[in-house]
This record gives sequence, C-alpha cells and structure tokens, in this order.
Amino acid sequence: MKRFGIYTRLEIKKSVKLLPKLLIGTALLLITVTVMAMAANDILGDNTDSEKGQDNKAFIDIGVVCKDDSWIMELAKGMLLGNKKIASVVNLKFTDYDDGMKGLEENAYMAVVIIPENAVDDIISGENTPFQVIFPKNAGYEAAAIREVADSAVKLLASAQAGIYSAYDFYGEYNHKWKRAGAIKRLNERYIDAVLGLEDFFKDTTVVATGDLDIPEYYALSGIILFIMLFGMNSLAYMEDYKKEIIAALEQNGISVAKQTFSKFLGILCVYGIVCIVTVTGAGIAAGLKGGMTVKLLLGMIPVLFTASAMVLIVRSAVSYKPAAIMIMFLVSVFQAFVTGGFIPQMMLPKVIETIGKCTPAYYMLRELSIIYLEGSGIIINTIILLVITVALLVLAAFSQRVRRKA
Amino acid sequence: MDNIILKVENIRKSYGRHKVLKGAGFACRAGQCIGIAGVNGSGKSTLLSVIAGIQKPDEGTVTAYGVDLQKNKSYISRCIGYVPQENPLIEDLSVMDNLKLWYCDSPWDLKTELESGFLKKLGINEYQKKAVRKLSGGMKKRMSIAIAVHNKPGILLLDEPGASLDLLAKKIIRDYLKWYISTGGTVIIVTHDNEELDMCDALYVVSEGRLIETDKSLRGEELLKGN
Repeated sequence: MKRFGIYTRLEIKKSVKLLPKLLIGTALLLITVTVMAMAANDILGDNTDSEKGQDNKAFIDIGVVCKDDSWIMELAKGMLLGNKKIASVVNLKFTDYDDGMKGLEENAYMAVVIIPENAVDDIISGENTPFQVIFPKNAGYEAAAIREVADSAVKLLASAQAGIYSAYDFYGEYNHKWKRAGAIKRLNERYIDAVLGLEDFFKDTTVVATGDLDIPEYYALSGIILFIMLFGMNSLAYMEDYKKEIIAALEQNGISVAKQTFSKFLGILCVYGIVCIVTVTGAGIAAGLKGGMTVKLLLGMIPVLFTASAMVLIVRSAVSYKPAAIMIMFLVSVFQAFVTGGFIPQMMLPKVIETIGKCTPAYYMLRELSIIYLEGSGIIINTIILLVITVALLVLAAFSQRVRRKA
Repeated sequence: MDNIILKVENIRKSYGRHKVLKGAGFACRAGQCIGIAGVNGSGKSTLLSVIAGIQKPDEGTVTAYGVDLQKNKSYISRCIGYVPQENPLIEDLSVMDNLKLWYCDSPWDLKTELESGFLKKLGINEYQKKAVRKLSGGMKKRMSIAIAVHNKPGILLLDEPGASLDLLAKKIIRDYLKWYISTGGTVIIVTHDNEELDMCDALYVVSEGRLIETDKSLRGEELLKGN
C-alpha cells in the first residue's frame, strides 16, 4: 500500500509538472473553441431576435392543404396568418394538394400539412382525425421548427376540446340531455372562437432549437465540453508511455495494472481539474455569471472531468503510437461534439444522429452542465451515468494495458 | 551441483511462428557470475525477460531458491533484480523520485546508501534532483542497476549493461558487480564485452534456441560459433 501511495503521488506530480508545457496548447485551444462557439452562435442566432422588435422574416416555408372550409377553420387560418410570432418561425402558404406536393419535390416547401375535411367537426365530436405532415426526403433542422408549431396547434385545440367535453358531461349530470346538443354547438363556436382569438400561446413559448437554453448559453456549454475533450490531445502529446519492464516491475512489487491505471487516471484528473478551474472561472467572469453559478458549474464539472480523464486514458492505453493516439482523440472529440449537437443543435439533426449522440459520453457531459445551469432535475441520475461510464472506460484502459504488456 | 539457487529448465518461447527458444536451460549457484553470449536475435534478451517474469514462456520452468517463479510471481521481485537493455525508469521524474518509489519499503536505507553506501559507489548521489530524462546513458544504466537491487535480490540479471557506455561508466558498473558477487550475489549477464566476460565463472552461448556451455576463455567469433 505504501508503494501504491507513493506511486500515485508521483503520477500526480508527473502530470502536474506537465502544466507549463500544456499552457500554449491550452491557450490556442481555448481561442479556437471560443471562436467556433461565437461563429455558431451568430449563424444560429440570426432571425430569432424578435423580442428586440426587429423585422425578422422566417425562412421556413410550409405548405398547408386545408380541406376543411368551415367558418371556424377560416377563423383559425386568419389567426395563424396574422400571428407575428408564428410568422417569425415559419411562412404558412395555403395551397391545394397538387401544388403542395409539387412544392415539396422542388424544395419550395420544407413540409406540407394536410388538414382533413371536417377537421373541426371531428375535433369537436372526439373523432380526432389526425392532420398529416409530409416532409421531403432530407428533412433536417426545419423538422424541429415544424414539430414545435404542430405541437403548439395540437395543444391549442386540445384545450378547446377539454372545455367542450366538460360541458357535455355537465349537461348529462344535471339531466339536461335534451338541451345538450344545441348548447354544445353554441359552446363549440364560442369556445373555439375565444381560444383561437387569444393568441397568447406564442407569447410565452419561444421556439428555439437549443431547447431551454438560449443560443449563446447553449454554445458556451457545448464549447466547454468540446474544449475539455480536445484538451485530451494536448495531454496525450506529453504523456509518457511506460515500457513493459516498468509495468511488470510495478506489478511484481504489488502495484497491479488496475492500480497503475487508477493512479494515472488521478494524475490526468488533477491536470484537468487545474485547467478547468482557471477556464470555467474565467469564462464565468467574462459572461457575468453570479459567483454561485460559477461554483455550481465547477462542482458539476467533477463528474464531467472524471469521464474526460478516463477517455484520455483509454486512448493512451490502447494506442501505443503517440501521434495515432492524438489523432484518435481528435476524431473522437469532434465526432462526439457533432452528434451531441455541439456544432448544430441536436434537435435539428436527423433522428438517427440524435440517437447515436445519446450513446456517447459527451451527451451526458453536456447534459450535466445544462441541468446545473438551468437548475433542472435529473442531476443525480446523470452523474451516476457519468460515473458508470468512467468506471467502464477505466476497466477497458486497464485491460488494454494488460494486453499490451503481454504482447 | 550443490547450492543451486537458480534453475532454468526447458524454456521454450515463440513469437508467432518464430521459435526463439527451443528448450534453453541452465543452473547456477550463489556467488557465481554466468555470462550469456550469442548473435543478435538469438533469444538472449528473451531468456532474461522470461527468468525475470516479464514474459511468460510457452513451456519450461524457472525455479529460484526452490520456488517455482511462474506460480509465485510476487517472489520474483524478492529474489531477482533485472536490468533490461531499455532502462526501466520514469523519465519525467527526478532521480530521487524514481528511487523513492522503489526504496520506500526496501531493506536498504536510501539515505544511508546515498551518503556512503553502494548508491554512492554507483555515483547516483550527485544527481538526485536531476530529471532522469536529462541523465547520460551511463548514469541511466547505473540508476537501472540501483533500482534493480532495491529489494536486495540474490540474483541480478543484466542485459548488455555496458552497451553504448564509455569506458569509465563500464568500469563503475563492473566494479559494482564485482562487489555484488563478493557479497554472495549471483550475476547473470548477457554481454559481448571482453572485460565483462572476464568476470564470468561460466559462459553460455545461445545457439539455435538452446544454451550451450562453452569454454569461458573464448572470445569474439569463436565464442559466437559456440565452440
């Protein structure tokens, strides 16, 4: 145990001694990632600034084929076309079926919504014939915006239905069934009129592809995760690979390969910790975050850094040729950043990429910071997931080291 | 043979299809110096690394002080010190840090040995704070020897310790080995250096995967032919 303690202390010392060598690389990396985050923020942040009263036009055209010609649907159409919030996200163009399909093929429309005949009557009667939304073959980020608009419309009508069903039951309960039909009809008209006329929904809900985070916040947190992963390249450049004679000698003297792996992990973790404290604190000050939030983010970084350190260690353990290890770390980092929405928000990516993203450690690393920043729920489960990932990676690293030693 | 402390029997080792050792074996007593020579690639380093427990043989046994070392790996470090060709040092740390790692539970007192003991004889006391990376080849080899003997092993294996070293460095190492042998230690040395060969009580040549005992007065080409 004594030797293990000394060995661990020396691994940490060895890693920390690398810090001056890592400075320049770290500074360059910080600048690169910051520039990337700011550029992405500028690109995505365009056209969503309607709160400042700018005249933003939406760039997503959606064809609407409306087969319901009831006066209520006309009222709804008028409301939708006149709503500035909706207009800032999508351009609704009412058209017929043939023109709608042609528009899809020619990429004039990002989607076509088909409202069935008697749609309003069906909603009122509880039939609920679904609306059809047709996307072109290569639907991308636009699908996210359309999904939000469709969800909003569904919620709007669902609240109207709830009121009407309540009235229906009410008349039945008080034995006024003979009055029910007429009353419901009038109630339908007045209720839907009132609901559709409110136009309140889009005042409170902002359709943003970055979920609950603002765009600058999203890219700041993604940028931190990308920086942490890419920093692994920097560390790998200076990490010493032990000869098998040292590994064997340590093993023979009571420090198993697993213990050696753990000690190296602690060494890398210390370096990450020091770099993280400096960069996150600096970023927090630059962003004007309150001290409490910076501290919370730093604490939230602990499980994130565990996972990042384990990722660096598995790459180094598995790949003996250092330049190859650095390149693999780069590719793994960029890949994870892409599939978890580090460059383009995940909501705007095809579903299959979203699914792949959720299988990567970076997804949970970003989630950890997002939950802390938004003071949301699920932090414990996410932390446990990160710890499980860390342990799995460390086991793999120890196994790789063992295989290489025997080779 | 009386007083056999190390017995190597029928060691076979292959790297893929290439059979390096095909039944190598020898035995030695306490206080003996055994020399092993052979052409490049004959399996000398492989044999030493098998004895030291770095590699596992395909077949064969290594017994030290009556203990089967393959079944008792923890015993290896207590009875065998190994100085490979590649110095097993942590280069990013200082000499002192490397020594502390190995001497933390050693029977030697590190401070005493640095001030007046064998570590001073090896010249290590002068470079305590220096990073291993900055040491000369000769100094690194002496460090490797210092680390190999941290557990006071009775058997010391050295793989071409004098390779690429200057005459003074070689002399320091030879003088240390002579002292080590005089205290009852056993040395098994892979070498082609004539002065190191002169120290040997017995000489073997690795030929076609086996060890052949040869006339210890042979040198150069005659030695390598195994005559």
